Amino acid sequence: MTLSNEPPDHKPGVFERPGVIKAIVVALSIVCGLLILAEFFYVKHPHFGFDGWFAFYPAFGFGAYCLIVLGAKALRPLLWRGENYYHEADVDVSDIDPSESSSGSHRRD
Amino acid sequence: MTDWPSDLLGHPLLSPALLMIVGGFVLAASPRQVHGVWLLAIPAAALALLWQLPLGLHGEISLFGFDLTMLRIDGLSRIWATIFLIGSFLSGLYALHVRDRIQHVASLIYAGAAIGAVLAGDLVTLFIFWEGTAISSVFLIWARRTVRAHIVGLRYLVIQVTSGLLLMVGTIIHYRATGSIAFNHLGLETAGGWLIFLAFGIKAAFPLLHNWVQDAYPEATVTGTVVLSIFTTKLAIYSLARGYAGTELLITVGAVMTIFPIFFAVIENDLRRVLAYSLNNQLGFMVVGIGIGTNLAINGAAAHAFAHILYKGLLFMSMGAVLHRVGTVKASELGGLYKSMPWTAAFCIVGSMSISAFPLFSGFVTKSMILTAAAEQHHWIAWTALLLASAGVLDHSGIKVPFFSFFHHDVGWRVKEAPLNMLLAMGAAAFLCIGIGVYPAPLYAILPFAVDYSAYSTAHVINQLQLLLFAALAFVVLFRNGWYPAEIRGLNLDSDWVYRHALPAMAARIHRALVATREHARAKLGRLGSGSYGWLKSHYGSTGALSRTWTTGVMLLWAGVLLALYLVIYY
Repeated sequence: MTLSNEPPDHKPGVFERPGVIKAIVVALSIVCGLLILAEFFYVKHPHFGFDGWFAFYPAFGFGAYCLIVLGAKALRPLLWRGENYYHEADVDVSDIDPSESSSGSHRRD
Repeated sequence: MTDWPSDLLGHPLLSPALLMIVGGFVLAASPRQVHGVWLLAIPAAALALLWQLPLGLHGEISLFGFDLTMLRIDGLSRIWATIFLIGSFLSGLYALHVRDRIQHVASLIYAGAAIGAVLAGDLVTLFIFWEGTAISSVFLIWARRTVRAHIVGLRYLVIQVTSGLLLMVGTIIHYRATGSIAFNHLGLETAGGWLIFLAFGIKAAFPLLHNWVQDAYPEATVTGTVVLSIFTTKLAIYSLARGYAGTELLITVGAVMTIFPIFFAVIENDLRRVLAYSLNNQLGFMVVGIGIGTNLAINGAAAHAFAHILYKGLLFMSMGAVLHRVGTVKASELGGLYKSMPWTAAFCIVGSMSISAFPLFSGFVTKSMILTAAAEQHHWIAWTALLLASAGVLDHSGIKVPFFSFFHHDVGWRVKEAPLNMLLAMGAAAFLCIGIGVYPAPLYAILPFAVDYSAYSTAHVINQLQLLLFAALAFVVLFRNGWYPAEIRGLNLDSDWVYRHALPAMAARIHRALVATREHARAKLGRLGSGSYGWLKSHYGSTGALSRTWTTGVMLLWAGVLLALYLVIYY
């Protein structure tokens, strides 16, 4: 197993170049625009009525995504705890936050 | 494919399940050089045997006065056994480099037990294999050989065995009520039916019974998690489809199951745990399908289970490869790995697009059957919940898992690409994910019911792309504005908090209270004791009034007084 966490070499990869990232975002926006335009060119088969509204799926996709991500973000203060909250981490395992590792040596029982 | 002698076919010993289990025990005693061949040859041979078996009931034996049916081959059981064997083959390929005999043996026996349970024609056989999956699979967690894995494994085992006990008690009650142990439709009309439902519900990770999945799967070994993700939960889904198809309660349960894990997945840092939440959410789709219970819905649940095992296995494989090379799968510690592990990244993206149900990927042609079935039965709330969950899937499995591990910002990991056998397994799984998406006919051909369904209508393709790409646009907006929740170290409380923290804390509090009560009582008794001792001593001690020597005259006087007193009171 090769483990090396060296400082990043300063040659940005393809997906780190601002131009490439911008191109991806622009391409996504164009495709989304085309998908809105497509609303005029196909026959809908709504099952319930509301799923036949103009741009129902785009609006639902955007809204549902925001609801879920922001909802989860709002839940974080309630649910978040330190990595060794349950005191089950292994004494010598580096897989938990070093600042907590001291408590890792205390076993609950 | 070899031709098996036809008079032997249907013999209880000639079962794909027993072949896998015996193969596992033989591997335990065989030299390491043949392990690789064995891991691939046994599932392949079992698959060939499965498809040689004619439809119907075979392998009847008598045990404890019951007539057991070891092999029931029908549309439902055959597709499940098929995907279990394909999954076993792929996970065997993925684990070829592993030199840990215990993991190989456990994988084969666990797969065999799961297949035996799927092929069981009666509840007693089901119970035997059901417990077999619990006992064999825990070794894949313990094989991590950390203290935490040991604790988690014990917890996992307790929960799995509890499910088995509920199944056993439910079976006994069901048998006394109906006189039959046949594993057909059970329903919720009897107490036995409810207990068996609960047993299935634990393994299917129903809401609030779910947390063993997220607790245990991320703690297993790199290859063990892939194996675990295939069998136990899907066995439970099969059992629900067999025993409780059309049970309306399952629509509600399934809809809740699709929604609530996605919130946890969004804020979870351990990417294998994110996938465990995502697995839970995908099970919800299948449970809804079973609850609807129409032919299309059951077909949808079966097809989705088939596709799910492949893409979820693929996603766990890619994160396993990252764990194998980097040593962690915490999103907060990862980023930029596409430079070091480009093939793994590409396969992970195929898995992500499949689970997100992009057209031309497997999830698209299977999940839509369940949504269509829900719409046809006018379950608009369930349908809306599934649509909401579909947008959630895009976040945690479609974007979060590949983005934060392979892209995002490069944190400087320079590691080797995954081993060749891992890449081959991921490649094969990715090929199947795309193959099913592009050409679903072979999958549709082995579904339990005849299929009259096509996912590729213009409206469906456009609507699905609209849903997914606008959700992706939402990600871009949230992320670029800094509103997307950051990946931070830590854990999130879930229902396991009840038995990992609240109940032990309550037990400790009760213990402390009892100890305090005992100490208090002892102190009180001690004080009382010393008080009584002093009183006794003052009266009866060597200087006490009652132990003095009295003269006869005084005694007579007192006797007279007492008699006089008695006389007065009497009158």
